[in-house]
Amino acid sequence: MQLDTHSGRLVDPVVVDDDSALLVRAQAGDSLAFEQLVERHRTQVFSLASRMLNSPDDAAEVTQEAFLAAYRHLPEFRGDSAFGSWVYRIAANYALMRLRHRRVTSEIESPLEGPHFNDRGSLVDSVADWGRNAEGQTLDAELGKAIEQATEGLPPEYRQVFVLRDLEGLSYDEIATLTETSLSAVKSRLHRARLALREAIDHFYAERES
Amino acid sequence: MSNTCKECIDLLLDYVEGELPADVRTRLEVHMGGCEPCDQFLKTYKATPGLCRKALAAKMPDDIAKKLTDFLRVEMNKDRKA
Repeated sequence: MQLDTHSGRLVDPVVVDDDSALLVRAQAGDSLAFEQLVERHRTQVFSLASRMLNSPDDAAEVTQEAFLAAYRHLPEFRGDSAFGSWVYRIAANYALMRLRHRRVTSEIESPLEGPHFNDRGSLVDSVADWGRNAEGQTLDAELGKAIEQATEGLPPEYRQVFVLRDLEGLSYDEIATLTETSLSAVKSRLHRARLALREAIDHFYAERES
Repeated sequence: MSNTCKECIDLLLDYVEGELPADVRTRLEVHMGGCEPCDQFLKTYKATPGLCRKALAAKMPDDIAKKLTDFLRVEMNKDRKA
């Protein structure tokens, strides 16, 4: 047994590692257990919201809204999915609602960058050799900044699909449902977003080498 | 018939997800095998999501985390009293 610093109770460490034990306590009205669940998942929820919305203030509000909605709907949560995934989807919904509202009033979209081809459909750009060992490498801070800027520059409907799929790992079907678009639109947007981000990374390496 | 670079790159999402029909996949792989720029492009296309995940792993600032906790405590209190 070990001391749970949040609740001051003695708890089994194996059980603490599992959301379901906290969830049972939270559903029984233990607000400290709910706070622990929030603590476990708040960074990922905030990260999702801030990547989708491009605004830390909006992301903070969406994180609040999502956890409050989760708290109020705890009695209805049957555990068909993990608690974290459930809150994620709630947060994604709130973020998408904000994006839809924003689109009514603003947004001038810049065209997406992509590879260039000649008349015969052949690649005309040389591609820097950065793909092979990219996974294992520590991320360069300047490259990180370049990726952040490129992500912020994506039009919202492309950014949201990229965030939900490549950063958060949702399925195509889930994304299509959340964004109220077709499966083919989801895949097309994801592909174009990846091409634009790949282009930005390639540009970064090409500049560095020159 | 052989694919062009553009046709291959248009198919990359389905290719990396393993969703291309066998004959289309074979044509694409034949092209990639003989086209150095496309082979390089595929490697960088595959590496892009992983690099982005590393770059975009946001931390929640402490002040926002505290505000979240305070906000939820107030709201949970209100709900209990209602």
